[in-house]
Amino acid sequence: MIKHILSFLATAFLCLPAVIPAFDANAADTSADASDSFVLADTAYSDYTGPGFYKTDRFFFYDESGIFTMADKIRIEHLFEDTASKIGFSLVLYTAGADRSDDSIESFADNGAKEIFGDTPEGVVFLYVDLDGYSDAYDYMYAERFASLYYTGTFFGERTVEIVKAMQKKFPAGGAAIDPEDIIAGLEVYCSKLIEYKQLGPEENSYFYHKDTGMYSVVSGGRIIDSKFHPYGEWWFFALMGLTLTGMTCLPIIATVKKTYKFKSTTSASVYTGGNKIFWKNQQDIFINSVVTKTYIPPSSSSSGGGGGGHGGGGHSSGGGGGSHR
Amino acid sequence: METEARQFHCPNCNADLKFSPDLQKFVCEFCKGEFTEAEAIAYMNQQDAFASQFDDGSQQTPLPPEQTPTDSQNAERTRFEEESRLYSCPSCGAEIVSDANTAASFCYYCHNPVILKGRVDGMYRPSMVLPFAFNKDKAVEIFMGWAKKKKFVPRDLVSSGQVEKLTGLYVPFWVADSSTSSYMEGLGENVRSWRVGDYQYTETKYYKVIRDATINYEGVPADGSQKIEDDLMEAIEPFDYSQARPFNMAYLSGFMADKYDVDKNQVFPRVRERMYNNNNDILQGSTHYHVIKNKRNFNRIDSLTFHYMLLPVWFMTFSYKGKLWEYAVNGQTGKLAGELPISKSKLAVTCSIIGTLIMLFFMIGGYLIT
Ligand SMILES: [Zn+2]
Ligand SMILES: [Zn+2]
Repeated sequence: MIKHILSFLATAFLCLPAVIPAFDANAADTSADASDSFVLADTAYSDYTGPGFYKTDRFFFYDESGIFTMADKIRIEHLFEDTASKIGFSLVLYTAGADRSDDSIESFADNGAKEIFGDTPEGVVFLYVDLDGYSDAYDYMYAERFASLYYTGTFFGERTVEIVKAMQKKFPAGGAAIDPEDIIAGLEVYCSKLIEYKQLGPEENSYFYHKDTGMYSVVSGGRIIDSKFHPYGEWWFFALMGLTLTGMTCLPIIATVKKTYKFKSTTSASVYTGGNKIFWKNQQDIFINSVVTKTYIPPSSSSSGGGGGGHGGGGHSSGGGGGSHR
Repeated sequence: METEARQFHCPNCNADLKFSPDLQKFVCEFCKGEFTEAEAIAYMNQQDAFASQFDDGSQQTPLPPEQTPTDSQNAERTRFEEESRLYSCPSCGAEIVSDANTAASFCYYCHNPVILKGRVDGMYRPSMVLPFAFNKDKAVEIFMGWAKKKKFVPRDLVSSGQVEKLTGLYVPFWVADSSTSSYMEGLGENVRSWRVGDYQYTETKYYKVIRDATINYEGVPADGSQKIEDDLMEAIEPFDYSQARPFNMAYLSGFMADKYDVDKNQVFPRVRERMYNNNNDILQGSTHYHVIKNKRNFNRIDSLTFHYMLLPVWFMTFSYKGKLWEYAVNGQTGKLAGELPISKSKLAVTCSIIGTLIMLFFMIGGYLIT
C-alpha cells in the first residue's frame, strides 16, 4: 500500500504540469458546451451519408479515403461490431482522406465522440486514421465517458498512446504507398488492444466529470465510484503533494550544504605553471569537412506525438485522447 | 601478418577505420576519409613510433645522480643532528622533530604524551624552510571567522574549549620543479544550427586538432608525511616560496616539525598525475570546439628536481558529537581546509519552513478548487 502511494506521489509530482490545468476542470466544461454543434468541412456528423458511410447504434464508420473495397469494409464492420459488443462501448472509425492539422483532427475526434451517438450512458472511442497520403500522418484516438477510464492514462493518456503506437506498427510510414491490408491489420491490433485494456480494468485515479449532475466518476481501489470531488481536489492530496515537493526541495539543499561544507577541493596544478612557462610547439586546426543535416519540424509538435502530448485524461472534463505521428 | 590483427585508425581523426569492399579501401565514418592499406599501415607505424616517445605510465622519477655531500654540507648535517631532538609517540608511532630548546610534550596527531628518543639523522635535514607568517591566536581568529559565517555549523563547535588542541607544525614537503611535454590530437566538432520555415538545419564542421607544448612547473608540492591527509594538504595550497629561507634550526624554535616518512620516489606518481591532468586541461583549454572526439593525450616528464622543504601548517582538532574534526590552516596565507560538521537541527528548521510554505500553498490551492 505504502509503495503504491509513493509511486503515485512520484508520478503526481512528475505530472504536475498536466494536473494544474485540471484544477480548472469546471471552466473547461463551459467551453465544451459552446461547441455542441461542431462542423468540419461544412458537414456536421449528422450529414454523413452516402458511399463509405455506415452506422449502427454500436459502430459509426466513415471512409473518407475511399481506399477500401466493399469486401474490406464488411470485414472492418464485423471486426468493430464484434469488438464493441465485447467491450460495451460504442466505436467510431474515421479513415481520413483529407489533409488536416493536428489541432483540427483532435477537436474533430473529441467532438465526434461526444455527438455521434448522442447521450450514450457508457462511452465512445473515436479513432481517426490519417490516410491522406502525405508524410507525417497523425493518427489519433479519443475515449469519452466511461471508456476514458479504460483507455486513457491518468495524466498523459499513456494507454491511448500505447494503443495508437501498437496499431501504427502495422501501418505504412506517413507518405508511403497505402495497402488496405496493412490498415486492416493495424485495426485488428487496435481492436485487440481495446479488449485487452477493458479486461485489465479501469486505471486507478482516472476520472471524468458529469456535467449534468456535477458529479465525478472516479476509479478508486479498482472500482468506479461516484464522487462529489475531483479526485485530486481533496485537501490531503495537496498536503501529500506539498510534502513530496518539500522532500524534493530539501534533499538537494541538504546535499548542497553537505558538499559545500567539505573544504577539501584540490588546488589545480595550474598555479605552478604560468603563461610564461608554456611553450607551444604546434597548435593546428585542420579543416576536414562539413556536414549539413535538415530536419522537418511538425508545425504543431507541441500538442501531439511521441510522448503522447498534452492530451491526457487529467486535463479533460469528460474524456481523454492521445495520438501519434508516423 | 601481424598488422592484420590490429585495428587501423584514421590519419585524420583517429577514429576506427572500416574496410569498404566496394571501394577496396579503408574508410572513416567520422570524417569520411578514404585510405589504402599502405596508408593505414604507415600511419599506424608512425603513431607507434610517436607514442613510444611519451610516458605510458611507467616513467620512473628522473632524478639527477646523487652527489657526495660537500664538506660544508657534511658540517650542516652534523650540526642538525646535534641541535635536533626526536620524540616518538608510543600510542600512534608518530615521530616529532623539535629543536633542542623546545620540549615536545604531546603528540599532535593523537594528543598523547610523547617520549624523547634522541637526535635526528642528518639525512633528514631539509634544504629550505618557509617560516610561519602568523601566530596561534591569529590562526584561531581565522578559523572562527570562517566557521561563524557558515549558517549550518553547530554553535557549540566554535564556543567549546576544544580549540586548545592547536599545533603549528612544519610539514615535510617534496617540492618539484619539472619540465614536461604534452601532446594532444583529436577530431574537433563545431555545430551551428538555424531554422528556415519548417526545417531545422544543423551544420557540423570537423577539424583535425593538434596541440603540442612544453609545460614547465615550479614548486608543485607533495607532503612527505604518511599520517597527514593528502587532500587536506592539497586544499591549502599554494605556498609562496619566495619567502622560503635556507634551513636553519632557529625556525623550529617553539614549533614542531615532522620528518618525512614518504620518500620522493613514493610521492612521484602523485606529482606526475597532477601535472599530466593539468597539461591535458591546458591543451584542451586552448581549443574552441563544442566537443573533441577520438581525443588522445600524450605526456612525458623531461626533467624533474625535488626540494625537501618544511612548510608551515596550523592544525586544529575538534571533537564534536564523538567524532574528530580536523582542520588545516596554511601558516603563510591563512587558507583553510577541512570538513565542517552540519547542525541537523538548524538544517531541519530551514527545511520545515520551506516545506510548510509549499504545503500551505498547495492546501490553499486544493481548497480553492474543491
Ligand atoms: Zn577520420
Ligand atoms: Zn600519537
